[in-house]
Amino acid sequence: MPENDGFYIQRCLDGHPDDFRHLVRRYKGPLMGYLGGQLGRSDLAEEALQEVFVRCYFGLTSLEKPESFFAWMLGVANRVAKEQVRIEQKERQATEKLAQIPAQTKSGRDWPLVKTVAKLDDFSRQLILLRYYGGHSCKDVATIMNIPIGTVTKSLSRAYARLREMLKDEAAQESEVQL
Amino acid sequence: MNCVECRELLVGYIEGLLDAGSNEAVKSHLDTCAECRRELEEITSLQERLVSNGDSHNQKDLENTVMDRIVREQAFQLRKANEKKPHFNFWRPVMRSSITKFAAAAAVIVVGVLGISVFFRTQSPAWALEQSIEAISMYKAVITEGFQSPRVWKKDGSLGLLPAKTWAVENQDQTAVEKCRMEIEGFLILTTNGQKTWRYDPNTNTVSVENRPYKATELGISRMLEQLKELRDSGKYSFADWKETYGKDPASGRVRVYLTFALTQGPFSPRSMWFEFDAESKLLIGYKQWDNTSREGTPLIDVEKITYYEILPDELFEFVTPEGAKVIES
Repeated sequence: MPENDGFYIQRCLDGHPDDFRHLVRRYKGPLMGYLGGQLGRSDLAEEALQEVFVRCYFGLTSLEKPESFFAWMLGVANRVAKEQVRIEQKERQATEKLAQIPAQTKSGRDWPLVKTVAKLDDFSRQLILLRYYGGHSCKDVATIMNIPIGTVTKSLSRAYARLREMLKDEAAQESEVQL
Repeated sequence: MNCVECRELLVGYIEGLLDAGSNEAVKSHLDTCAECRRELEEITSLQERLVSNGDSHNQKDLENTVMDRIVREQAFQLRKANEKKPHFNFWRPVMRSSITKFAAAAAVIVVGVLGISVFFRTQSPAWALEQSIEAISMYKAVITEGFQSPRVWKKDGSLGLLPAKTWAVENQDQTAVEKCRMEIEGFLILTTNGQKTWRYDPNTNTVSVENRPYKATELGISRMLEQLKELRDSGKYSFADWKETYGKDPASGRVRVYLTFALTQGPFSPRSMWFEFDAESKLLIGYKQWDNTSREGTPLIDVEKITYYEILPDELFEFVTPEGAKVIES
């Protein structure tokens, strides 16, 4: 783990904007996972992801707790996603091409899973996003979230159980619909 | 070890985070308990699904895209902030000249007609070009607008881009820029009238004057593409990866030549460049320069808007020493 978030945030505030790059690298995966789950379309999620980072950069001066940087970014991402949905709806109404919107079937993307992750409680969601969408080890996740590693593994275990439950429910609902 | 204890340690076991004793205990419980083995399989299969889903959401080049947007947005905000700030004293005497006022007004009109936002070059000066394509040989003067990194003129300059504007007039035989004026963030930092060169540092309020022209490049304005090719063939610089591609400008439908190359050795290296020329008139439309050979990261110079003129007033290239400034003659 090179440096903590606080270090890079301070560097940015001290006039080294390029250090924001490290934070983008660290969180692009988790945020993309989250936005994918919220928006359900990769093109919208990609657009929103850039917007989230730009807003976060310019909002750094108002960030009170650098140690909660990721949670704060998820908040920004949530707002951007909601705005995106509103814009999208307006555009659709304006063009009346609702039926022509192509379904998002980009290969390799598991939409039910990512949508379920977005529905987890805040804490479990952060863990799963950092671990799998950010590709961070359990140790790094513990450092980023500032919690003991034992808490990471225990909470991951609970998060897996919850995810499996939710995925099962969803699959059951889907099969009911098909019947 | 019973099933409850085993399941509590299962994630740590999978992640390889248990101490040798616990690891062994979990292992031997799994050997005997089919129920827990199934649980282990379920978790690993969910993990695999998460890993492959996570990979598919990875955006490879996002860092550069985001940093580029941030730098542009920052430059834009800086410019907006500067518009509100009063200019330095030295600017005012220059603006008093009626000819300069006229030139400034003409430039504003051109911008107004084009309706350009500096940040979106989709409608570039194609309009200006289109209207006067027949008179191309008359274009000896140019105003460029874009961004520059402080590293261009200051070795210890940090990253980031500042709004930059340049006025330039080429010499009679169109082989080099003769007169030039450069403003960064609205501050005049360099000007040459072809005989004298002034450099100004607004931070220390110091002017240094040299009794010689400032030779920016060995290139003129109206024949730049041709001259670049001559330079390449002269063997004077080490050009690498020279590549010309053609494309159509979506806004104007005009054919464009995109030229890229790198300079790997010599006083200006390492550098890489990107040029956009109008294919018919051969005039430069856009330009970027990086201080690496692979056009990576934030550019050193990013010229986004170029307006061609037949002439620019001489007053633009004179320097009026600001009140109280220290003058160093060399």
